[in-house]
Amino acid sequence: MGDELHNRLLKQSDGTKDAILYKIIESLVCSICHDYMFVPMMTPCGHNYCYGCLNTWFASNTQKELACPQCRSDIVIIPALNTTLQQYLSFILDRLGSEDDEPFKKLLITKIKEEDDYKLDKEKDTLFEKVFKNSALAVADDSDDGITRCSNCHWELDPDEVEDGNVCPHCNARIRNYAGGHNEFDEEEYSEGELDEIRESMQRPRENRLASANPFANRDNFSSEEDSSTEEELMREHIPQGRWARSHNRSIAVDTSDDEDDEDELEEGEEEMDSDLKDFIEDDDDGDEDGSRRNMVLSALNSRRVIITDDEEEEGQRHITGEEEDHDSDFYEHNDEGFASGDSLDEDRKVVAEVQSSSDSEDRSISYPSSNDVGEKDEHDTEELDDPQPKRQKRFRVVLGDSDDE
Amino acid sequence: MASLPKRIIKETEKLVSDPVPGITAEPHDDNLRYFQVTIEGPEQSPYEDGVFELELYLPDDYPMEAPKVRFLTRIYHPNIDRLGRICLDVLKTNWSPALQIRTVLLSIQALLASPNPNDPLANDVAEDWIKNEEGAKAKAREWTRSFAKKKPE
Repeated sequence: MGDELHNRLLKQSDGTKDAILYKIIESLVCSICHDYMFVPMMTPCGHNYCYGCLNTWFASNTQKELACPQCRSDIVIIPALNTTLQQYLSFILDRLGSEDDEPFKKLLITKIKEEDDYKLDKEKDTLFEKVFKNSALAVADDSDDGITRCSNCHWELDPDEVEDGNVCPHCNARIRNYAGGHNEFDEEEYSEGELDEIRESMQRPRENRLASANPFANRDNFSSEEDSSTEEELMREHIPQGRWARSHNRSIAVDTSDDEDDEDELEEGEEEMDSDLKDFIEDDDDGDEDGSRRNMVLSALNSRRVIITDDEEEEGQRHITGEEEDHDSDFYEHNDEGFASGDSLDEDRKVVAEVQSSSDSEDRSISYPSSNDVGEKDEHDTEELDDPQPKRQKRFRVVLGDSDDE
Repeated sequence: MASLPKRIIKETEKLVSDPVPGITAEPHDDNLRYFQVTIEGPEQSPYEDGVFELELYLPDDYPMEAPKVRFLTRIYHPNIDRLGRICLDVLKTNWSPALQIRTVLLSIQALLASPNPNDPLANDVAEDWIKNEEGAKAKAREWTRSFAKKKPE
Protein backbone atom coordinates (compact mmCIF):
# COMPACT_ATOMS: atom_id res chain seq x y z
CA MET A 1 0.00 0.00 0.00
CA GLY A 2 2.72 2.42 1.00
CA ASP A 3 4.31 2.49 -2.42
CA GLU A 4 1.13 2.63 -4.50
CA LEU A 5 1.60 6.29 -5.42
CA HIS A 6 5.32 5.84 -5.99
CA ASN A 7 4.66 3.16 -8.58
CA ARG A 8 1.87 5.09 -10.25
CA LEU A 9 4.01 8.19 -10.56
CA LEU A 10 6.64 6.30 -12.56
CA LYS A 11 4.02 5.34 -15.14
CA GLN A 12 2.75 8.89 -15.66
CA SER A 13 3.35 11.11 -18.66
CA ASP A 14 5.79 13.98 -18.34
CA GLY A 15 2.88 16.42 -18.35
CA THR A 16 1.32 14.83 -15.27
CA LYS A 17 4.67 14.67 -13.50
CA ASP A 18 5.27 18.33 -14.26
CA ALA A 19 1.86 19.27 -12.93
CA ILE A 20 2.56 17.43 -9.69
CA LEU A 21 6.00 18.97 -9.31
CA TYR A 22 4.70 22.43 -10.11
CA LYS A 23 2.03 22.05 -7.45
CA ILE A 24 4.66 21.05 -4.91
CA ILE A 25 6.84 24.05 -5.71
CA GLU A 26 3.80 26.30 -5.49
CA SER A 27 3.18 25.03 -1.99
CA LEU A 28 6.63 26.31 -1.03
CA VAL A 29 5.60 29.89 -1.78
CA CYS A 30 4.63 32.12 1.12
CA SER A 31 1.25 33.79 0.72
CA ILE A 32 2.54 36.92 2.42
CA CYS A 33 5.67 37.73 0.41
CA HIS A 34 4.85 35.50 -2.59
CA ASP A 35 8.38 34.17 -2.42
CA TYR A 36 9.89 30.81 -1.41
CA MET A 37 9.73 29.91 2.24
CA PHE A 38 13.27 29.12 3.27
CA VAL A 39 12.14 29.01 6.89
CA PRO A 40 8.53 27.79 6.68
CA MET A 41 6.63 28.13 9.94
CA MET A 42 3.40 26.21 10.32
CA THR A 43 0.55 27.69 12.36
CA PRO A 44 -1.65 25.48 14.54
CA CYS A 45 -4.30 25.74 11.80
CA GLY A 46 -1.87 24.21 9.32
CA HIS A 47 -0.86 27.19 7.17
CA ASN A 48 2.74 27.95 6.32
CA TYR A 49 4.54 31.29 6.10
CA CYS A 50 8.12 32.52 6.14
CA TYR A 51 9.36 33.08 9.64
CA GLY A 52 10.17 36.69 8.81
CA CYS A 53 6.77 37.38 7.22
CA LEU A 54 4.82 35.91 10.11
CA ASN A 55 6.95 37.82 12.57
CA THR A 56 6.24 41.09 10.76
CA TRP A 57 2.55 40.29 10.59
CA PHE A 58 2.34 39.61 14.32
CA ALA A 59 4.21 42.82 15.02
CA SER A 60 1.86 44.88 12.87
CA ASN A 61 -1.24 43.08 14.04
CA THR A 62 -3.78 45.58 15.28
CA GLN A 63 -6.36 43.12 16.52
CA LYS A 64 -6.48 41.69 19.97
CA GLU A 65 -5.79 38.18 18.79
CA LEU A 66 -3.01 37.07 16.49
CA ALA A 67 -4.80 35.81 13.42
CA CYS A 68 -3.74 33.43 10.66
CA PRO A 69 -3.56 35.43 7.42
CA GLN A 70 -5.22 32.65 5.43
CA CYS A 71 -8.03 31.38 7.64
CA ARG A 72 -8.19 34.09 10.32
CA SER A 73 -8.22 31.61 13.17
CA ASP A 74 -6.57 32.79 16.35
CA ILE A 75 -3.01 31.67 16.63
CA VAL A 76 -2.65 30.88 20.29
CA ILE A 77 0.23 28.42 20.03
CA ILE A 78 3.61 29.37 18.65
CA PRO A 79 4.00 28.23 15.02
CA ALA A 80 6.56 25.46 14.48
CA LEU A 81 9.27 25.08 11.88
CA ASN A 82 7.91 22.90 9.07
CA THR A 83 11.01 20.84 8.35
CA THR A 84 9.31 18.81 5.62
CA LEU A 85 8.72 21.86 3.46
CA GLN A 86 12.15 23.16 4.29
CA GLN A 87 13.72 19.93 3.07
CA TYR A 88 11.70 19.94 -0.17
CA LEU A 89 13.01 23.37 -0.98
CA SER A 90 16.60 22.49 -0.12
CA PHE A 91 16.35 19.37 -2.26
CA ILE A 92 14.92 21.27 -5.21
CA LEU A 93 17.58 23.96 -4.88
CA ASP A 94 20.30 21.30 -4.79
CA ARG A 95 19.04 19.71 -7.99
CA LEU A 96 18.11 22.78 -9.97
CA GLY A 97 20.81 25.23 -9.12
CA SER A 98 24.20 26.04 -10.52
CA GLU A 99 26.69 28.31 -8.80
CA ASP A 100 27.42 30.60 -11.73
CA ASP A 101 23.80 31.52 -12.24
CA GLU A 102 23.17 35.03 -10.84
CA PRO A 103 19.46 34.75 -9.94
CA PHE A 104 20.15 31.42 -8.32
CA LYS A 105 22.98 32.88 -6.26
CA LYS A 106 20.57 35.50 -5.01
CA LEU A 107 18.19 32.77 -3.91
CA LEU A 108 20.96 31.05 -1.99
CA ILE A 109 21.98 34.30 -0.29
CA THR A 110 18.38 34.93 0.76
CA LYS A 111 18.14 31.36 2.02
CA ILE A 112 21.22 31.69 4.17
CA LYS A 113 20.15 35.04 5.54
CA GLU A 114 16.66 33.91 6.48
CA GLU A 115 17.92 30.71 8.05
CA ASP A 116 20.45 32.69 10.06
CA ASP A 117 17.80 35.12 11.26
CA TYR A 118 15.70 32.24 12.48
CA LYS A 119 18.61 30.44 14.12
CA LEU A 120 19.70 33.56 15.92
CA ASP A 121 16.23 34.23 17.29
CA LYS A 122 15.92 30.62 18.31
CA GLU A 123 19.25 30.65 20.10
CA LYS A 124 18.43 33.87 21.87
CA ASP A 125 15.03 32.42 22.67
CA THR A 126 13.33 35.42 21.11
CA LEU A 127 11.26 33.70 18.42
CA PHE A 128 8.42 35.95 17.25
CA GLU A 129 9.76 38.59 19.60
CA LYS A 130 8.55 36.44 22.47
CA VAL A 131 4.95 37.30 21.85
CA PHE A 132 3.91 33.73 22.62
CA LYS A 133 6.20 33.26 25.60
CA ASN A 134 5.36 36.41 27.42
CA SER A 135 1.75 36.85 26.72
CA ALA A 136 -1.52 35.14 27.26
CA LEU A 137 -5.15 35.87 26.66
CA ALA A 138 -7.71 36.53 29.33
CA VAL A 139 -10.56 34.23 28.45
CA ALA A 140 -13.89 33.46 30.01
CA ASP A 141 -16.01 30.48 29.10
CA ASP A 142 -19.60 31.53 29.64
CA SER A 143 -20.86 28.04 28.99
CA ASP A 144 -18.70 26.89 31.89
CA ASP A 145 -18.25 29.08 34.96
CA GLY A 146 -17.75 32.37 33.12
CA ILE A 147 -14.73 33.27 35.21
CA THR A 148 -11.96 35.10 33.42
CA ARG A 149 -8.80 33.06 33.30
CA CYS A 150 -5.28 33.30 31.96
CA SER A 151 -5.07 31.23 28.79
CA ASN A 152 -1.58 30.21 29.71
CA CYS A 153 -2.03 28.74 33.18
CA HIS A 154 -5.81 28.97 33.75
CA TRP A 155 -5.29 31.09 36.81
CA GLU A 156 -8.30 33.20 37.67
CA LEU A 157 -7.92 36.83 36.70
CA ASP A 158 -9.70 39.72 38.25
CA PRO A 159 -11.47 41.60 35.47
CA ASP A 160 -10.88 44.83 37.35
CA GLU A 161 -7.28 44.02 37.72
CA VAL A 162 -5.91 43.07 34.37
CA GLU A 163 -4.56 45.92 32.35
CA ASP A 164 -2.27 45.87 29.42
CA GLY A 165 1.26 45.75 30.61
CA ASN A 166 -0.10 43.80 33.50
CA VAL A 167 0.82 40.24 34.02
CA CYS A 168 -0.91 37.08 35.13
CA PRO A 169 -0.32 36.84 38.87
CA HIS A 170 0.43 33.16 38.54
CA CYS A 171 2.51 32.56 35.41
CA ASN A 172 3.65 36.14 34.86
CA ALA A 173 2.53 36.18 31.23
CA ARG A 174 1.49 39.57 29.95
CA ILE A 175 -2.23 39.64 29.27
CA ARG A 176 -2.39 40.91 25.72
CA ASN A 177 -6.10 41.16 25.00
CA TYR A 178 -7.31 42.61 28.20
CA ALA A 179 -6.71 46.14 29.26
CA GLY A 180 -8.76 46.35 32.40
CA GLY A 181 -11.79 48.12 33.70
CA HIS A 182 -10.97 51.78 34.07
CA ASN A 183 -9.81 52.92 30.69
CA GLU A 184 -13.14 54.55 30.16
CA PHE A 185 -13.45 55.89 33.61
CA ASP A 186 -16.68 57.74 34.16
CA GLU A 187 -16.60 59.83 37.27
CA GLU A 188 -20.34 60.17 37.34
CA GLU A 189 -20.74 56.48 37.96
CA TYR A 190 -19.16 56.87 41.36
CA SER A 191 -20.19 58.76 44.42
CA GLU A 192 -17.77 61.28 45.87
CA GLY A 193 -16.78 58.87 48.62
CA GLU A 194 -16.02 56.12 46.16
CA LEU A 195 -13.97 58.49 44.07
CA ASP A 196 -11.87 59.35 47.09
CA GLU A 197 -11.31 55.70 47.77
CA ILE A 198 -10.22 55.13 44.22
CA ARG A 199 -7.82 58.03 44.33
CA GLU A 200 -6.49 56.77 47.60
CA SER A 201 -5.97 53.32 46.19
CA MET A 202 -4.03 54.87 43.35
CA GLN A 203 -1.81 56.62 45.78
CA ARG A 204 -0.44 53.63 47.57
CA PRO A 205 2.44 52.63 45.33
CA ARG A 206 3.51 56.21 45.13
CA GLU A 207 3.39 56.59 48.88
CA ASN A 208 5.61 53.59 49.34
CA ARG A 209 8.02 54.90 46.86
CA LEU A 210 8.04 58.36 48.29
CA ALA A 211 8.68 57.02 51.73
CA SER A 212 11.63 54.91 50.74
CA ALA A 213 13.02 57.54 48.44
CA ASN A 214 12.99 60.06 51.23
CA PRO A 215 16.48 60.20 52.70
CA PHE A 216 15.07 61.23 56.06
CA ALA A 217 12.74 58.30 56.24
CA ASN A 218 13.09 55.85 59.05
CA ARG A 219 14.37 53.12 56.87
CA ASP A 220 14.45 50.30 59.38
CA ASN A 221 10.95 50.87 60.37
CA PHE A 222 9.70 51.04 56.86
CA SER A 223 11.55 48.06 55.49
CA SER A 224 10.32 45.80 58.26
CA GLU A 225 6.82 46.77 57.35
CA GLU A 226 7.57 46.14 53.72
CA ASP A 227 8.99 42.72 54.41
CA SER A 228 6.05 41.51 56.37
CA SER A 229 3.57 42.64 53.77
CA THR A 230 5.63 41.01 51.06
CA GLU A 231 5.60 37.75 52.92
CA GLU A 232 1.92 37.96 53.39
CA GLU A 233 1.41 38.52 49.72
CA LEU A 234 3.71 35.70 48.79
CA MET A 235 1.56 33.42 50.84
CA ARG A 236 -1.55 34.60 49.11
CA GLU A 237 0.04 33.83 45.83
CA HIS A 238 -0.61 30.18 46.49
CA ILE A 239 -4.21 30.57 47.44
CA PRO A 240 -6.53 30.60 44.47
CA GLN A 241 -8.84 33.54 44.69
CA GLY A 242 -11.56 34.73 42.42
CA ARG A 243 -10.77 38.36 42.95
CA TRP A 244 -7.37 39.85 43.21
CA ALA A 245 -7.01 43.15 44.87
CA ARG A 246 -4.85 45.64 43.09
CA SER A 247 -2.09 45.39 45.60
CA HIS A 248 -1.82 41.64 45.14
CA ASN A 249 -1.31 41.68 41.49
CA ARG A 250 1.17 44.43 41.75
CA SER A 251 3.25 42.83 44.38
CA ILE A 252 3.09 39.37 42.99
CA ALA A 253 4.15 40.51 39.61
CA VAL A 254 7.17 41.79 41.43
CA ASP A 255 7.67 38.99 43.86
CA THR A 256 7.97 36.32 41.24
CA SER A 257 10.94 38.15 39.87
CA ASP A 258 12.64 37.44 43.10
CA ASP A 259 16.13 38.57 42.17
CA GLU A 260 15.11 42.17 41.95
CA ASP A 261 16.03 44.34 44.87
CA ASP A 262 13.67 46.57 46.80
CA GLU A 263 14.14 49.52 44.59
CA ASP A 264 13.15 47.51 41.61
CA GLU A 265 10.04 46.39 43.33
CA LEU A 266 9.11 49.92 43.95
CA GLU A 267 9.75 50.85 40.38
CA GLU A 268 7.59 48.02 39.34
CA GLY A 269 4.89 49.43 41.55
CA GLU A 270 5.31 52.66 39.71
CA GLU A 271 4.90 50.87 36.46
CA GLU A 272 1.47 49.80 37.55
CA MET A 273 0.88 53.22 38.93
CA ASP A 274 1.53 54.68 35.55
CA SER A 275 -1.02 52.53 33.91
CA ASP A 276 -3.50 53.37 36.63
CA LEU A 277 -3.01 57.01 35.96
CA LYS A 278 -3.40 56.48 32.27
CA ASP A 279 -6.89 55.39 32.92
CA PHE A 280 -7.56 58.85 34.19
CA ILE A 281 -5.50 60.84 31.79
CA GLU A 282 -6.13 60.87 28.14
CA ASP A 283 -2.68 60.05 27.13
CA ASP A 284 -1.41 60.69 23.67
CA ASP A 285 2.28 60.91 24.20
CA ASP A 286 3.13 57.24 24.21
CA GLY A 287 6.15 57.25 22.03
CA ASP A 288 7.41 53.88 23.15
CA GLU A 289 6.35 50.56 21.82
CA ASP A 290 4.72 49.60 25.09
CA GLY A 291 2.53 52.59 24.63
CA SER A 292 1.43 51.78 21.15
CA ARG A 293 0.74 48.23 22.12
CA ARG A 294 -1.19 49.45 25.09
CA ASN A 295 -3.28 51.64 22.90
CA MET A 296 -3.94 48.76 20.61
CA VAL A 297 -5.08 46.61 23.44
CA LEU A 298 -7.07 49.40 24.98
CA SER A 299 -8.98 49.87 21.80
CA ALA A 300 -9.50 46.18 21.40
CA LEU A 301 -10.65 45.73 24.92
CA ASN A 302 -14.20 46.83 25.06
CA SER A 303 -15.70 44.05 23.07
CA ARG A 304 -13.95 41.52 25.26
CA ARG A 305 -15.34 43.09 28.36
CA VAL A 306 -18.84 42.14 27.40
CA ILE A 307 -18.38 38.98 29.36
CA ILE A 308 -18.28 40.84 32.63
CA THR A 309 -21.47 42.11 34.06
CA ASP A 310 -21.67 45.49 35.71
CA ASP A 311 -22.50 43.90 39.01
CA GLU A 312 -19.33 41.94 39.01
CA GLU A 313 -17.32 44.98 38.20
CA GLU A 314 -18.73 46.95 41.05
CA GLU A 315 -18.29 44.09 43.40
CA GLY A 316 -14.68 43.85 42.40
CA GLN A 317 -14.26 47.54 42.82
CA ARG A 318 -15.57 47.52 46.35
CA HIS A 319 -13.34 44.65 47.22
CA ILE A 320 -10.35 46.48 45.94
CA THR A 321 -11.02 49.72 47.64
CA GLY A 322 -11.66 47.97 50.92
CA GLU A 323 -8.35 46.20 50.66
CA GLU A 324 -6.54 49.37 49.83
CA GLU A 325 -8.01 51.17 52.76
CA ASP A 326 -6.40 48.70 55.13
CA HIS A 327 -3.04 49.23 53.59
CA ASP A 328 -3.45 52.93 53.70
CA SER A 329 -4.29 53.02 57.36
CA ASP A 330 -1.22 50.92 58.07
CA PHE A 331 0.75 53.40 56.21
CA TYR A 332 -0.54 56.38 58.07
CA GLU A 333 0.34 54.78 61.37
CA HIS A 334 3.89 54.85 60.23
CA ASN A 335 3.49 58.33 59.08
CA ASP A 336 2.76 59.38 62.58
CA GLU A 337 6.21 58.24 63.53
CA GLY A 338 7.31 61.07 61.43
CA PHE A 339 9.29 59.74 58.53
CA ALA A 340 7.21 60.38 55.45
CA SER A 341 5.73 63.72 54.84
CA GLY A 342 2.00 63.36 55.21
CA ASP A 343 1.55 66.76 53.66
CA SER A 344 3.22 65.84 50.46
CA LEU A 345 1.08 62.78 50.22
CA ASP A 346 -2.07 64.75 50.63
CA GLU A 347 -0.85 67.17 48.11
CA ASP A 348 -0.13 64.37 45.76
CA ARG A 349 -3.61 63.09 46.08
CA LYS A 350 -5.00 66.48 45.38
CA VAL A 351 -2.82 66.68 42.36
CA VAL A 352 -4.13 63.44 41.00
CA ALA A 353 -7.57 64.93 41.20
CA GLU A 354 -6.35 67.94 39.32
CA VAL A 355 -4.74 65.85 36.69
CA GLN A 356 -7.91 63.97 36.30
CA SER A 357 -9.89 67.08 35.65
CA SER A 358 -7.41 69.06 33.67
CA SER A 359 -5.33 66.34 32.04
CA ASP A 360 -2.38 68.57 32.67
CA SER A 361 0.56 66.40 33.53
CA GLU A 362 2.72 69.41 34.38
CA ASP A 363 0.85 69.89 37.61
CA ARG A 364 1.95 66.59 38.95
CA SER A 365 5.60 67.33 38.79
CA ILE A 366 5.16 70.37 40.99
CA SER A 367 4.26 68.44 44.08
CA TYR A 368 7.01 65.87 43.81
CA PRO A 369 9.74 66.02 46.34
CA SER A 370 12.87 66.80 44.41
CA SER A 371 14.18 63.31 44.57
CA ASN A 372 15.63 61.74 41.47
CA ASP A 373 14.06 58.45 42.27
CA VAL A 374 10.69 60.01 41.96
CA GLY A 375 11.17 62.01 38.84
CA GLU A 376 12.83 59.18 37.05
CA LYS A 377 9.77 57.06 36.98
CA ASP A 378 7.22 59.38 35.62
CA GLU A 379 7.15 59.12 31.92
CA HIS A 380 5.12 62.29 31.54
CA ASP A 381 7.59 64.55 33.22
CA THR A 382 10.19 65.14 30.65
CA GLU A 383 11.95 67.71 32.76
CA GLU A 384 12.64 65.40 35.63
CA LEU A 385 13.69 62.45 33.59
CA ASP A 386 17.16 61.72 34.82
CA ASP A 387 17.07 58.25 33.45
CA PRO A 388 14.04 58.00 31.25
CA GLN A 389 12.11 55.29 29.52
CA PRO A 390 14.81 53.00 28.18
CA LYS A 391 15.68 51.92 31.68
CA ARG A 392 12.06 51.52 32.57
CA GLN A 393 11.39 49.38 29.57
CA LYS A 394 14.39 47.31 30.23
CA ARG A 395 13.24 46.53 33.70
CA PHE A 396 9.89 45.62 32.33
CA ARG A 397 11.52 43.11 30.06
CA VAL A 398 13.55 41.72 32.87
CA VAL A 399 10.41 40.91 34.77
CA LEU A 400 8.87 39.34 31.73
CA GLY A 401 12.00 37.42 31.02
CA ASP A 402 11.75 35.69 34.35
CA SER A 403 8.51 34.12 33.31
CA ASP A 404 10.37 32.06 30.74
CA ASP A 405 11.85 29.94 33.42
CA GLU A 406 8.51 28.80 34.59
CA MET B 1 10.99 55.87 -2.07
CA ALA B 2 12.21 52.53 -0.92
CA SER B 3 12.66 49.88 -3.55
CA LEU B 4 9.55 48.08 -4.62
CA PRO B 5 9.05 44.80 -2.75
CA LYS B 6 9.20 41.70 -4.89
CA ARG B 7 5.62 40.89 -3.99
CA ILE B 8 4.31 44.09 -5.58
CA ILE B 9 6.26 43.42 -8.77
CA LYS B 10 4.89 39.89 -8.92
CA GLU B 11 1.34 40.99 -8.29
CA THR B 12 1.56 43.64 -10.97
CA GLU B 13 2.92 41.15 -13.49
CA LYS B 14 0.17 38.71 -12.67
CA LEU B 15 -2.54 41.36 -13.01
CA VAL B 16 -1.31 42.09 -16.50
CA SER B 17 -0.61 38.53 -17.64
CA ASP B 18 -3.72 37.00 -16.07
CA PRO B 19 -6.30 39.77 -15.63
CA VAL B 20 -9.48 39.28 -13.61
CA PRO B 21 -12.56 39.33 -15.87
CA GLY B 22 -14.30 42.68 -15.66
CA ILE B 23 -11.44 44.32 -13.77
CA THR B 24 -8.35 46.19 -14.94
CA ALA B 25 -5.55 47.56 -12.79
CA GLU B 26 -2.59 49.41 -14.23
CA PRO B 27 0.25 50.90 -12.23
CA HIS B 28 1.07 54.56 -12.76
CA ASP B 29 4.26 55.17 -14.71
CA ASP B 30 5.72 57.48 -12.07
CA ASN B 31 4.62 55.56 -9.03
CA LEU B 32 4.38 51.81 -9.19
CA ARG B 33 2.39 51.76 -5.95
CA TYR B 34 -0.42 53.76 -7.49
CA PHE B 35 -2.90 51.89 -9.69
CA GLN B 36 -5.63 53.05 -11.94
CA VAL B 37 -8.46 50.60 -11.70
CA THR B 38 -11.68 49.96 -13.56
CA ILE B 39 -14.43 47.65 -12.42
CA GLU B 40 -17.38 46.64 -14.52
CA GLY B 41 -20.71 46.74 -12.75
CA PRO B 42 -21.86 43.18 -12.02
CA GLU B 43 -24.64 41.79 -14.14
CA GLN B 44 -28.14 41.98 -12.73
CA SER B 45 -27.12 44.78 -10.41
CA PRO B 46 -28.14 48.44 -10.83
CA TYR B 47 -24.56 49.03 -11.90
CA GLU B 48 -24.47 46.67 -14.88
CA ASP B 49 -23.43 48.21 -18.15
CA GLY B 50 -21.34 50.74 -16.25
CA VAL B 51 -17.56 50.83 -15.95
CA PHE B 52 -16.37 52.49 -12.73
CA GLU B 53 -13.01 54.09 -12.25
CA LEU B 54 -11.13 53.69 -8.99
CA GLU B 55 -7.71 54.51 -7.64
CA LEU B 56 -5.70 52.08 -5.55
CA TYR B 57 -2.61 52.88 -3.54
CA LEU B 58 -0.30 50.39 -1.84
CA PRO B 59 0.99 51.97 1.40
CA ASP B 60 4.58 51.50 2.50
CA ASP B 61 3.58 48.75 4.90
CA TYR B 62 1.73 46.75 2.27
CA PRO B 63 1.05 43.81 2.53
CA MET B 64 0.94 44.24 6.30
CA GLU B 65 -1.47 47.11 5.74
CA ALA B 66 -4.45 47.07 3.37
CA PRO B 67 -4.34 48.91 0.04
CA LYS B 68 -6.17 52.23 -0.02
CA VAL B 69 -8.96 52.13 -2.58
CA ARG B 70 -11.41 54.84 -3.62
CA PHE B 71 -14.06 55.24 -6.28
CA LEU B 72 -13.37 58.09 -8.68
CA THR B 73 -16.65 57.63 -10.52
CA ARG B 74 -19.69 58.82 -8.59
CA ILE B 75 -21.84 55.91 -7.54
CA TYR B 76 -25.13 55.58 -5.66
CA HIS B 77 -24.37 52.81 -3.16
CA PRO B 78 -25.03 52.57 0.60
CA ASN B 79 -21.47 51.49 1.38
CA ILE B 80 -19.71 54.07 -0.77
CA ASP B 81 -19.82 57.74 0.16
CA ARG B 82 -19.70 60.96 -1.88
CA LEU B 83 -15.93 60.99 -1.77
CA GLY B 84 -15.77 57.47 -3.13
CA ARG B 85 -14.60 55.94 0.12
CA ILE B 86 -15.57 52.32 0.52
CA CYS B 87 -16.89 50.61 3.64
CA LEU B 88 -15.52 47.11 3.29
CA ASP B 89 -14.20 44.96 6.13
CA VAL B 90 -11.21 43.57 4.26
CA LEU B 91 -9.98 47.10 3.63
CA LYS B 92 -10.07 47.83 7.34
CA THR B 93 -10.10 45.46 10.29
CA ASN B 94 -10.33 42.23 8.33
CA TRP B 95 -7.30 42.88 6.19
CA SER B 96 -4.90 39.98 5.95
CA PRO B 97 -1.53 39.91 4.18
CA ALA B 98 -2.68 36.80 2.34
CA LEU B 99 -5.12 38.98 0.41
CA GLN B 100 -3.95 40.78 -2.73
CA ILE B 101 -4.90 43.57 -5.08
CA ARG B 102 -6.79 41.02 -7.12
CA THR B 103 -8.87 39.71 -4.22
CA VAL B 104 -9.60 43.20 -2.92
CA LEU B 105 -10.94 44.32 -6.29
CA LEU B 106 -13.06 41.18 -6.52
CA SER B 107 -14.47 41.98 -3.08
CA ILE B 108 -15.39 45.46 -4.26
CA GLN B 109 -17.09 44.02 -7.32
CA ALA B 110 -19.02 41.70 -5.03
CA LEU B 111 -20.01 44.67 -2.87
CA LEU B 112 -21.57 46.27 -5.95
CA ALA B 113 -23.56 43.09 -6.52
CA SER B 114 -24.80 42.96 -2.92
CA PRO B 115 -25.04 46.32 -1.16
CA ASN B 116 -25.31 46.17 2.61
CA PRO B 117 -27.50 49.07 3.80
CA ASN B 118 -27.36 47.79 7.39
CA ASP B 119 -23.70 48.76 7.67
CA PRO B 120 -23.81 52.03 5.80
CA LEU B 121 -21.17 54.58 4.97
CA ALA B 122 -23.48 56.92 3.06
CA ASN B 123 -26.32 57.21 5.57
CA ASP B 124 -28.81 58.96 3.31
CA VAL B 125 -28.33 56.36 0.58
CA ALA B 126 -28.66 53.52 3.08
CA GLU B 127 -31.86 54.99 4.48
CA ASP B 128 -33.25 55.33 1.01
CA TRP B 129 -32.21 51.75 0.29
CA ILE B 130 -33.98 50.37 3.34
CA LYS B 131 -37.17 52.43 2.92
CA ASN B 132 -37.59 52.16 -0.80
CA GLU B 133 -35.29 49.57 -2.33
CA GLU B 134 -36.77 49.73 -5.82
CA GLY B 135 -36.55 53.51 -5.91
CA ALA B 136 -32.97 53.45 -4.65
CA LYS B 137 -32.00 50.90 -7.27
CA ALA B 138 -33.60 53.02 -9.97
CA LYS B 139 -31.55 55.97 -8.77
CA ALA B 140 -28.40 53.83 -8.79
CA ARG B 141 -29.15 52.85 -12.39
CA GLU B 142 -29.67 56.48 -13.26
CA TRP B 143 -26.36 57.49 -11.69
CA THR B 144 -24.63 54.64 -13.48
CA ARG B 145 -25.97 55.96 -16.78
CA SER B 146 -24.98 59.52 -15.92
CA PHE B 147 -21.52 59.07 -14.39
CA ALA B 148 -20.08 55.67 -15.30
CA LYS B 149 -18.54 54.89 -18.65
CA LYS B 150 -20.51 52.60 -20.83
CA LYS B 151 -19.40 48.98 -20.92
CA PRO B 152 -17.93 48.15 -24.35
CA GLU B 153 -20.05 45.71 -26.30
